[in-house]
This record gives sequence, C-alpha cells and structure tokens, in this order.
Amino acid sequence: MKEQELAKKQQAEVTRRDGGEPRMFVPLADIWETEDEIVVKLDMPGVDKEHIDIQVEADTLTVCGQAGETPQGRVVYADRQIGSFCREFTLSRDLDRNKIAAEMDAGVLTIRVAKAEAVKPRRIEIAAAK
Amino acid sequence: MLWMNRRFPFGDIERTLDEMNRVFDIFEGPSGLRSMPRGTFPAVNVYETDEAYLLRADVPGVDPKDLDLSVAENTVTLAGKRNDVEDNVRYYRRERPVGSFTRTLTLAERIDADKVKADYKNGVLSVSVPKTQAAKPKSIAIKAK
Repeated sequence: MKEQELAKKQQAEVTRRDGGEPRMFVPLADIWETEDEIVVKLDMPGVDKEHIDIQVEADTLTVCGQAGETPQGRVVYADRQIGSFCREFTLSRDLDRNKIAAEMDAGVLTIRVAKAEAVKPRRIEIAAAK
Repeated sequence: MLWMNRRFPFGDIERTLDEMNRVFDIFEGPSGLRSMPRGTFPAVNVYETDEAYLLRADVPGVDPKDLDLSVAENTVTLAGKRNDVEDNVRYYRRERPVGSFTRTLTLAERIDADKVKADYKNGVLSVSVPKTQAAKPKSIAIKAK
C-alpha cells in the first residue's frame, strides 16, 4: 500500500474511534441575547468560509459544513473533529429573518440575528400635561 | 426569546470546562494511536514523517499573542488562554471553553528545538517540529562478500 493510502486509512480509523458514531459532529456554540439581537458563536477551527452553508427556512436556522485536512504524513494522534458538521437552531417569532449577518474570524463563526422592531425595548416619552 | 437546539447529542457540555487546565501526555509509539475524550481543549492532531512531526491544534478565537509554545528534548507544550466572554448580555448557551489551558505532547523521538516553526491560520496552530539528525531513519548498506 502506498504511504498516502495508508495515511488515509489511518485517518479513517481515527475518526471511527469514538464508539463508531457516524462522521458527523456538532460544533460548540455560545448563544446570547442583547437588546437588539441574538448572537450565535460557533467554533469552526480550520474551516474555510466557502465550506460553510447557512440556511434559514421557516423557523429554522441551519449551519452545516465540512471540516478536515489531508494528513501531512502518518497519523500518530488525532482528536480534532473532522468530517461533516451540522447544527440547527429554532428562531423565535420575535426575530427578523431578513436581518441575519454572518462573519468568520480566526476559526469562529458569528451569526447575528436582529430582533424585530416591535420587540426591541423602547423608551416612552412622557408628554407634559397641557 | 425562545431558542432551542434540536440536534445536540452530548449531554455533558459542562464537563469541557473541567477538562481544561490538565496536562496530557500522549504517544506510546506507532501503535499507540489514541485520542482524548471529546471536549479536551485544544484538540490536537499529530502527523509524522521521517524528517519531522507536524502538530495541528484547534485554538479558534484565541489571539496568537495569547499562545505560548515551548519545546524541550522530546516534548512540545502549548499553553494559552481564551477570554471570549461577553459582558452584560444574557447567555442561553455557553459551550465553548474559556480560560487557561495547557497541553503537553510527548513525542517518540528527540526533536530539534531550534528549528521548530509555528503559524496560526483560521483558528488552527500548525507547528512543524524537525527531528534531530540522530533520530532520522538511516539506511544501512549491506555488504556482500
């Protein structure tokens, strides 16, 4: 077997070591709320933004993609997650589906979903009595 | 604001925080291929050629200035911190580990500490660790009589 093939085989074995689960993983996320928006941050080290697909359909925001690299030689140790990943989030009615922005920086994907105007906190002016 | 997450197979998110600040030794030889449990931060891959080891560590969102890489005879230690926390917001989920971390990798062969190179891209630290001359495989010519 050629060295490259062997490396591939070893890589495949590595990914199967976690109890035989399929090669699909769920990226870790932080989710928080501010006055204006909901923010989701996902760890995606080494993933090109071209390999990430973000979809909004009805109440569901889905982030899927591919992580991986060609082994640079024989694999002697591996615990980085590779393969396909997917994660779904349910959007509440109070969020504006037309105002979703995503940005990738240093292996972290940040998705910002604006709140609908109607639910943002407002300051109510008190009119002076005439 | 209700946010739910339908697909989350791990019930043990919080353990990731407990698993930080540990020091791990790895590598027992060619057959010592094994992995740490999920949640170990940073996750690391090690590749080997005749000339060198190549380490890849997942450190997303970590400023390279906050990373400290040190090498000794046959160990590589990666330490650092990730302070990726928002103030004055309401968190619904906090799965991404934050705080200080240290991971030590023990390699099978002696390494050339002066020639170690590291670079950071897309949240991944790549470290190339050449083996010392003595550690590289040598082909011995067999003399026929």
